[in-house]
Amino acid sequence: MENLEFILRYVLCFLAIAVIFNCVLSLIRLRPEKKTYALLVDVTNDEQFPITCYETSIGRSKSCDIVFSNMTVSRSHAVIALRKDGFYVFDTDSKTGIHVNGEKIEKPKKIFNGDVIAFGTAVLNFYIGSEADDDMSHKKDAPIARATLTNLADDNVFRLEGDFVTIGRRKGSNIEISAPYVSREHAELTLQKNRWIIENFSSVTATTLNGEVIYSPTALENGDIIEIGDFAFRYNENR
Amino acid sequence: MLKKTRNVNLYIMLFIITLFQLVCLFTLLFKAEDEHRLNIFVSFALYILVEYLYFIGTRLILKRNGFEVELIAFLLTSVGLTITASVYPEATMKQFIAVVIGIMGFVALQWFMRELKPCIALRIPVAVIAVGLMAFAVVFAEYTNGARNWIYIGGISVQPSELVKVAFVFVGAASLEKLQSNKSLTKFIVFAFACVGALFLMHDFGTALIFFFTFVVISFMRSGDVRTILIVCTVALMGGLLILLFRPYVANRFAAYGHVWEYFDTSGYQQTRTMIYSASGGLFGVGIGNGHLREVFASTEDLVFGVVCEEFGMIMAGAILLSYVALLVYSIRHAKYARSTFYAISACGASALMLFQAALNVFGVNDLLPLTGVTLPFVSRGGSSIICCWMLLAFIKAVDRSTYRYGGVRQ
Repeated sequence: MENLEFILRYVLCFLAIAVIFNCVLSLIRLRPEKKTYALLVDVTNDEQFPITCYETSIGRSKSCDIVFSNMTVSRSHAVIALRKDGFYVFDTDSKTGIHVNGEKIEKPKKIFNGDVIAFGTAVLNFYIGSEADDDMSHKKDAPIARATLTNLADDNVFRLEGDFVTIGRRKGSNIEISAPYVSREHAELTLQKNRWIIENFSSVTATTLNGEVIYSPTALENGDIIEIGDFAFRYNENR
Repeated sequence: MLKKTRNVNLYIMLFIITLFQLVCLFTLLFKAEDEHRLNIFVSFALYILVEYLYFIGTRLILKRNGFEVELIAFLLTSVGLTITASVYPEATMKQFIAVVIGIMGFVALQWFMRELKPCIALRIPVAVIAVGLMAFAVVFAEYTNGARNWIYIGGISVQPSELVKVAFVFVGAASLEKLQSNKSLTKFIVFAFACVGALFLMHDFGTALIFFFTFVVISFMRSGDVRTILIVCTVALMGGLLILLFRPYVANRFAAYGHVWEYFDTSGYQQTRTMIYSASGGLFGVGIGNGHLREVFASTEDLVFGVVCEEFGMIMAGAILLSYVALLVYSIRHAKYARSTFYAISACGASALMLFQAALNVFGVNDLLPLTGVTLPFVSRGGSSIICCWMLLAFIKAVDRSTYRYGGVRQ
């Protein structure tokens, strides 16, 4: 029995270490997956500020998540918070206030895709990213009320209607791009099961989605950026 | 939210923990007297059953991933239950019942915290109940081992200060009245000083220190205001010095600190024996039930780290300490991406509290800090302590977005 007890001392130690070290290593090694829930884009210089937290503080202080050096922005100016039913902007006792689409807010205000938010004289466009939908699950299956492609060069908006939309150099394409490197039938968007799907047909110039080349039909998410050569379009949808 | 492939495999870990528990049970049954064997066997069997019910239920029904936090807690609780069964076999069932209450509290608190709104709404009632409990303890508690912090109700002894720890973290994190805009700490300072003051009146200085440390952590996370916190710390330091000046018996309790070997058989008895027997355990320990520290007073509570060192070995003792650090790292990692500031602050507050308490316990018995008589989280014997630890764990779980699969918070 003494020999068995001697062995069990080592076995016990080994078993406990196996569990604790595995769990501790996992806890230390694992990091929460970083998601971009939304994007703030400075209208003056197109600088992008991704919103990656449920609560994102905005201000002049370096402790804020998004820092503006603009003197009209208070040290702690605002918070943009993701709640179950969407995004809200909170004024955190700023001196110059917050304006959403030109209106000064007096209490927390729900903000929508494409809203223009002014913190002092810092004016930004607000775009909801696709990953925010994961946390607003009730919206995922709702029908698409309006889907658009916005040309980022000139802000020209193409409304996606019907069951398919063609993009290419060919005259009569729904979205016609007159550039030599764009194929006559370059890409097509089709509405399938309440989702817009993009498919590339060109073998000359790649079509990219958020910087990645499309090799097969891919579902579009709100805020996705489609690039064909020098042309870039942002996909927006309202459900 | 975490990549599934990097989480530990629940079933493998559960298998290893079960093996660990069975080896402990086998050793305990072999060493126990006949009259205690059934009690120990039933307690361990039920504990393993509860463990399986929790893991299988949350994995298969709630489809959750990431069980590292609970696996660590279950293993540490197993170590504590083994030491209790070995030293006080008659108290095994009582300790098991406390563990079950703790686990139920852990599950209930996690469920309650799925939405932010009720947490914010309940902060004032919880604060009032917490202060009421402390006041009740100040008036009615009886002196036990130098501190007046135990209440006896119908044969059951309860330590209110342990339960108030949970309320303290909850109120501290939930008292954000306006999102980030209200950084005033006044109400929380009043609440904290009411709790700490009551603990001083009860002569429970170790717990008072834990509350104060947690207060500093929560205050800093809430406000980021170093100046206010420095003022509060200075006031607290001056208050402490005044207490030592006008109540010299308080200082006498720590007279042996720093030179316990001079008080080998008197006030330094526990610390010196702990150091001697811890070292004699070596890397792998002398085996369950073969130690000598178990004979010393409070071996399963204040000196439990020494018992772990002696009977389980230094390697396991070091691994246990590492797990408290890992819980804090985990909380900090997830704080930025938490669903709300409430979850971030409460998780960091809870894990910092546990780490600080573990440090007080370990450094206290080794004479690196004064021996304040606080428990080692999850391992020490004591119903109130184990319930508190499991409930604090709920705050740590809640910071991880993946705990609530459907995410989102209603405000």
